[in-house]
Order: sequence, then structure tokens, then C-alpha cells
Amino acid sequence: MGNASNMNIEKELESLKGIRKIDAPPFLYTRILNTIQKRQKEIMPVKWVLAAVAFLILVFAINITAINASQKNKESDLTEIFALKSQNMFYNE
Amino acid sequence: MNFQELYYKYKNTVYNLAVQYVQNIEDAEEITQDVFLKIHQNLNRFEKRADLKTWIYRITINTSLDYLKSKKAKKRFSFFISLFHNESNEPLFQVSDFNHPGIELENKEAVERIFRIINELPDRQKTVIILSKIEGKSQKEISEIMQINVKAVESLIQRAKSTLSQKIYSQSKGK
Repeated sequence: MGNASNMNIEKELESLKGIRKIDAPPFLYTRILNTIQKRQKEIMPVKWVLAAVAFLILVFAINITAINASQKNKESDLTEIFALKSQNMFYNE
Repeated sequence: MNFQELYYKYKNTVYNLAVQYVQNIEDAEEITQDVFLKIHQNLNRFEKRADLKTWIYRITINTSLDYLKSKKAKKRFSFFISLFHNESNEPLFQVSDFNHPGIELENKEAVERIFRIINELPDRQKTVIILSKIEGKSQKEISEIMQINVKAVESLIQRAKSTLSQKIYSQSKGK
């Protein structure tokens, strides 16, 4: 190997210099634009899904708050009925 | 510069570079499409300070290398499947994907032989050979595209040449 093989590889690589430049096919731009539009259409439903998820989270949060509020009311009703109010009184006078 | 202007300015640069990696027009079209979709997605984020052409070169190289990797994986998978379902008489291997549109017929055999060896090189060595020997880029331009220093480019070219020589030598020995 050595110098001879280096000369050989240079000679082989020289053959690559004759490669012609070619033009991209004219239909490619339309194809790219179509794909961009298709992708943009696919992105729109994602926005709607996110909006729906946000709405559901809001409804869920309101529900939890409402349930908590009603439980507090129930607790205060029970304490009144069974006289469980923690006051420093030994007897109900 | 808007997307349309950018496309018409760089379409041939991208397409030709992709052809050097895959050596056929169908795959080069796919890669060109992917490259311009990526450019369209990231055009707003592109830093104006960097050179647009260098950025496009980088996207094209990465997309081409990724494309080749996924194609190789698909081929391996289809070969594996064919081991279990080889009822038809179709060949297990595709003979050749080589259909480079920029090569004159009389040089086809010689260029195909050298491309077959280039295709076996590691990604970075393959890239320096394509950029320097086919695209005619200077070592400085290659260093900017590959984001490495000029000395590293020089060393990569030397290593690529040495690997190519070894492969040619072992091929000629095998004949």
C-alpha cells in the first residue's frame, strides 16, 4: 500500500468531479406546500382538544369546590343536631 | 426572505446534496421535502447571525443521514420478515438503489464502485468526502458546515482517504 494506494484513491476520487448538477423537479414545491397545509390542518384539532381538556379541568375544579362547600355545610348541620360544637361549656344552658 | 424565495434559491443545493447521499432521485425528493418542511417550521427561530446557506447545508446533511439510517433499519426488518414469510420467489435482497442522475453513462460503473465504498464510511468521513470531492467545498467551508475546526476537517479527510484505500485494496485482493 502506501504512496501507490494514495495515488490510486486520488484517481478514484477524481472521477467524482465529473458529476453533473441537476435541477430539482418542478412538482416538488407544490408537494411541499400541500404537506405544510395538511400539517396545519392536523394542528387545528389539537388546539380544540386542548381547549376541551381545559374546559373539563375547569368543570372538575368547580365540582370539587362545590362538593367541599356542601360537605362543610353538612358538617355544621350535624354538629348542630348532635351538639358537638367544641366550646368550653360542660352543660348546655 | 420568505419561504417561496428561499425554496427557489436553495432547492437545487438541497436536492443535489441529498442525491450525493442516496444516489437516486426518489429518495432525494423525499429528503428535499423533509428539509424544506424543517426549514418552514424553524424559519422564525433561525438566528439571523448565522449563515443561512450553512444552516441549510447542515439540515440537509442531518436529514440525509437520518433517512439512510431509517432505510437501513427498514431493510433489516424486511429481511427478517422475509426469513419467515418467503413464499414468493422475490429476491431476499434488493440488488441496487444506485441510480445517480448526474452521472454520464460511460462513467457509471467506475463512479458506482467508488460510491459503494463511500457508502460504507462512517457518517462524518462520508460527509467530508461528499462536501470536498463532489460539492467542491473548501476546508474552511466544510468546517463551518460541520461546526468543527479546519484541522479536524483535514484529519477527517485523511482518515476517509485511508479507509477508502483499505477498502479498495481489500476489494481488489478479493477479486
